Amino acid sequence: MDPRWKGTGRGTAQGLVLALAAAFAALGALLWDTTSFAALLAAYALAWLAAEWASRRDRGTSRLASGAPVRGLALVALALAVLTGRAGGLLDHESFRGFGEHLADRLRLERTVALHPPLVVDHRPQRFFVRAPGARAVRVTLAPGVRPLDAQPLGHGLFRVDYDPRAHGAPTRGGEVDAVLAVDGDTHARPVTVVRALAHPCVLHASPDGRRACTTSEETDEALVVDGAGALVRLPTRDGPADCAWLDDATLAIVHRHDARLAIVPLDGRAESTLAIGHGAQRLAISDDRTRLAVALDAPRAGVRGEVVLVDVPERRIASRASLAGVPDFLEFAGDARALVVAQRAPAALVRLTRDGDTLRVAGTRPLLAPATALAAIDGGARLLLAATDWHDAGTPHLGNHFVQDQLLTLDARTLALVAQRFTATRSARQDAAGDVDRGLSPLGVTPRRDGTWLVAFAGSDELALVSPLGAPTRSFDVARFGLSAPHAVVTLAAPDGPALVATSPSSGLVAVLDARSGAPRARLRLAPDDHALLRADPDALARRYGERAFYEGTRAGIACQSCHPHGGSDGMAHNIGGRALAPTLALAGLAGTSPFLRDGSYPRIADLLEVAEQRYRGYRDPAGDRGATLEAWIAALPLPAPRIASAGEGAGPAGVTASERRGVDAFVRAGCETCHAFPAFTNLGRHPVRSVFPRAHAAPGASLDTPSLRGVAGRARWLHDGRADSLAAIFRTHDPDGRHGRARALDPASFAALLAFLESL
Amino acid sequence: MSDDALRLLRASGWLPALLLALSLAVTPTLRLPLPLPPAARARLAGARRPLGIAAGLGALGHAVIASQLYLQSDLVSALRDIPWLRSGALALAVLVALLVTSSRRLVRAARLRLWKPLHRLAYVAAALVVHHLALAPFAPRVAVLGLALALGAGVVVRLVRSGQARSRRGQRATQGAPRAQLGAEHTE
Repeated sequence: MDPRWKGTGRGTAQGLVLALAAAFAALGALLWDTTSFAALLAAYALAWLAAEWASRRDRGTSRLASGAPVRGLALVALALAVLTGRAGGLLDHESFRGFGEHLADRLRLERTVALHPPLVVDHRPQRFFVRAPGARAVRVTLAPGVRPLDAQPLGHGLFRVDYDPRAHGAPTRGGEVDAVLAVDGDTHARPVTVVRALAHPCVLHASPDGRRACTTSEETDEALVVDGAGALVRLPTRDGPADCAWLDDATLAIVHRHDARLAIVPLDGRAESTLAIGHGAQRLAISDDRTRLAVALDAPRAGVRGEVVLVDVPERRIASRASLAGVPDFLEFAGDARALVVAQRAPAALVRLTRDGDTLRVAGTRPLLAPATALAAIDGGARLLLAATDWHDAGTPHLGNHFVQDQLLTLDARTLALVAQRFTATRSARQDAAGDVDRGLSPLGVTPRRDGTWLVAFAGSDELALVSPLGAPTRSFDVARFGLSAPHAVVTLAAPDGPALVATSPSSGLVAVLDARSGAPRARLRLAPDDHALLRADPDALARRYGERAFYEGTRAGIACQSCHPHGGSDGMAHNIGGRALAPTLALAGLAGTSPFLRDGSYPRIADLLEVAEQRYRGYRDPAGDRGATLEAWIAALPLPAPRIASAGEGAGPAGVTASERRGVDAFVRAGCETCHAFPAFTNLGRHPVRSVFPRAHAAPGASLDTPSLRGVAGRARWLHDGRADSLAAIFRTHDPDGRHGRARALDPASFAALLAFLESL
Repeated sequence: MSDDALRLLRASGWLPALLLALSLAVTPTLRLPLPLPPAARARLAGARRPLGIAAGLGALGHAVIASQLYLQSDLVSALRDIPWLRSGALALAVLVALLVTSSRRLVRAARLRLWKPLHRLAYVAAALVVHHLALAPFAPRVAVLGLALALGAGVVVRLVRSGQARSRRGQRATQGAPRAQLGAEHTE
């Protein structure tokens, strides 16, 4: 090296190269409005070439390299680089933003002895997995107040823990606590978040005499009876009351999500009676003559995803059962008690069941584009009123970007043919920006009235509305102003002061009674602390409450998170969300601790997803605090689906391990699934180029794929990143011709069956 | 991908990363006040270049293996659009440039004058390798953190000791020390 270019402590060739590189980088950032590692590297290379050229010719640059001008130039260049303000672009481009969250989640999952999910809720059973390679015995204390549970060894270092708060004790405090894992005598503390549920009144059904209404709070295990004057009766129930119905004016029928019994509860103090119907009750319906109850069960087993149970009320016995290919959600008797229409999700469809004697059989099925968000029988059961986010008569998917169109549909109950269609999202005088809609968003509760009009609870626009099927103007009551945020259900009751509207707000833990004519509040029945009390007692719970409200809140474009993720789940559809390919909607439960998010892993934090609402849906009409943070707080607190209980024929009790399950885990590992869907979260949080896994996928060039967790995978309506697989088996049999998505095709039939059964149990 | 293929992919990636880290650890180690005999110091200093060359060759091998076993199709767009693949490709590009200019004969023939500013890109390559590993799906994050901490510690040691040396040189210069001595001290 030319001695004049050697370092002397006052200036160096290195300094000149760096200064030039900074200047080139700043120039590049100005010209192309972005920067990246590649651009910085190219700037350095250019700078080096320039300095090399200058040093060979020594055109006075040696003086430049050895004095104050170098420092000056460097400063100017750095200032330019800073002023261009492209650092944020660099962070985004190179995936630095949110990297800390991703790293923390990944380190947590990679620890030897890892627990997943990092969330304990006190209101429902949960399944946890522990990764403890080489361990013989694992004992888990999930939170203070919960008794230690022996984890069941599944093989390959994987252990399973089924926790039921009713049987094993509920956590005695909420927030961040340590779960204690005793592994072969050594103890390991792992942080978990404990969420203690608040009351969530949801459904509403008026009694036959129209004087009282019943609702349930699944989270706090209670049924509630309210009258038009605001009197409230709270009744303790079994685990997870999902729905209720009036058998007569003084008797309730209650079905439960986590208890196999239908409870028949007299309100006059007599003892309840029960009838075993099966786990996983979703909703129930009662015939007009009150002689038949129909219960929808989410009851996955081989070849069956749901079931409808018909109960003979007078005889207190199960009259009939019918298996369904999809998960039943809403159901209504059509006409007399001889026909039943079930709104199915995953896949979305309407199924008409008819009863011949004591046998229920499927009489017709009509696929739906989007699952029902509400269903009611109208016109004496001759027609159905269906609320949905999309509809196409021929079932052809709408491929528009983020296509959501809230609507109320009238269908013939016998043929399931469309009679009338009414879009609900409209503009009002409140609109303050061109093109916005601010009324009729996310209809979640529909109740037909005797005068032929419909009462609708719009969760997305915080209103209760009286809708005329004849097209008369809709009358709306804004209800958020007295705390009834995101109303889910509404009924009319007779009351001494005149007709009353009774509505529920799960997010506020509130049942409100309003004057049916003016919409003025008559009574607010708080089942959970109000916002002020919650702020003092449990700020985290308040953040979750705000997050839940934000989740249901409609944007200016009329779309809410709820539109595609009903109640935090999935609508089972595939949407065009801005890329060139359809992406199936994933459920949001169980996302805690699995950064990054979205199909391509482009969002490192759940809160960042608010950007979609702010930018694509034009944001929200009403100002709020940190919506992103509160949304994240609520979504991260959504527990995974309750564990499927092993049936008696599988050779193990509910908490035991079946031989089939062990074979399934073994097949999972042998098929190489664990490489990416790693224990215990069944994802390693890795991002892959789509075509490295699915070379023939119709994906945009360079598209990447965030490895999804397989927890709850059986509950999806379609599988793979583009939703092209219509069953778990089809993922391997049909859609992996190159054998790059694991090696399940190489398994023998018995192992393959065990693998599928294991996946369904997750 | 079979388990063996995955093992090969991982090993072929970690090997050049570790070789690069070792290569970059030589100078900081030599600058530490360790009781090393002069012969050992010389051997250590002499290891820097072969380690760097091995890292470059290893990176090339890893790129070939990854493109055959993992990426296969869509190579160009994946390298362009996916950050961790892009940083890996950039690291490879830097290492190949350093590999080529590690040939003394070639450097002489090309009459390169600013060899050192070019080869300081080894630190940039190391940073890119850390970025590549930190986002890659198959790399254990604890190992990545360990590598990043080791590289960071080396850089800190080097900067601190360079600062101290510069300070000493400044003091001697004010005391009228001969300039030739300063130059010798600065030589790496």
